[in-house]
Amino acid sequence: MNDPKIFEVELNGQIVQVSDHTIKSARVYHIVYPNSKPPLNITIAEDSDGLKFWTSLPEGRQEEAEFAGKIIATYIREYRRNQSCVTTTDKKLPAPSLFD
Amino acid sequence: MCYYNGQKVTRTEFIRLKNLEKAVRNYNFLNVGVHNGFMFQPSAIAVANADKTDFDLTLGHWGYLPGVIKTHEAAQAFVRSYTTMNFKSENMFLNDKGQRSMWADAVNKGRRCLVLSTGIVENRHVQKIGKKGEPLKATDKYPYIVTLKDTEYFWFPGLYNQILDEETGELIYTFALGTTPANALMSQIHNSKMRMPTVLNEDLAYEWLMTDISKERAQSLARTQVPSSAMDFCTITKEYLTERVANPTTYDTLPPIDMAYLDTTEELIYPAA
Repeated sequence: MNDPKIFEVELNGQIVQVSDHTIKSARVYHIVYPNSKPPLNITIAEDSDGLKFWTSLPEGRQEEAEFAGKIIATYIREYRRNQSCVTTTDKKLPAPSLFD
Repeated sequence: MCYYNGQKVTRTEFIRLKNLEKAVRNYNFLNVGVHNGFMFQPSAIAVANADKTDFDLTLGHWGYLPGVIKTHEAAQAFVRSYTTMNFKSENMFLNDKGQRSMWADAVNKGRRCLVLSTGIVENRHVQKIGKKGEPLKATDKYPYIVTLKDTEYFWFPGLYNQILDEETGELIYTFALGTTPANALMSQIHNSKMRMPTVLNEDLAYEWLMTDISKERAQSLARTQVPSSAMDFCTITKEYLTERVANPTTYDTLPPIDMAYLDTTEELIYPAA
């Protein structure tokens, strides 16, 4: 599945540019805001109970990371779903998880 | 047990995230306004995976290094002696002296990449005028940023080589980007060299990176000229190198660019095909 490498999403009414990077085998999303707000890097981490969560790199912007992560995950799921629809017409596939 | 961003994580996960932080610190490359090749700083490149089903955006050092370079000292000595930031598309196989080109190995082995860009900065040279109105040999330089209409970013064809840094054990991408004869607009802006970076449209960029192509086709792609009418341009302040930002400005004494190319169909030597 080829996910988009660079795309735009809306966060709090602002269009932000997102790029997808693989760094040390981890998937990192780099978010650039249109104003002077510093760029945000987010990735998926796993808590001690094995549950996955979005987090900022470096630490300190957890709330922003969770908010942006959900929007980005939704965007990518929708992107994948639209790609799937091109080849699948007989039944709707379950939305693939970004955490897979 | 440790905490990362207020979340309870295992020690292993904590160490992984902390290591990732270090690696991410080097990933501010997409925010740099102006990359200066002579600073040899990392830039964003796209490299295909082995079976060419996907690609990764990664960091590469602008300035191609041959495989014999193994240490930082050797790399510094090389870049002081040779300028390998760009490759002339005409010289992908043979150099100007008719000998095997230093790019031939990368071309033959398919080490092609794409270099991400949002604009090209070049200096226009304008002859100085003496006190009596006579033209002088010296020139004034006026920097321009050239962008592509209707697109925020675009791709240059690149050739890369991976160098094993024996001091850190890391494999480092080094790359050069392809150039071609200047079009009507770039001939006026980059008037000292009359060259321009090759800009690939999306289809050609895909072909360059993701398909197996002949050497001849690779050269054909690497010399593709983008038409002047597809470009926008603007003068910027001369501090672009130190501030690393392209700030638009105007120069009152600078003669305007001849934009007659907008009124005719530009005849390119190597149009996209």
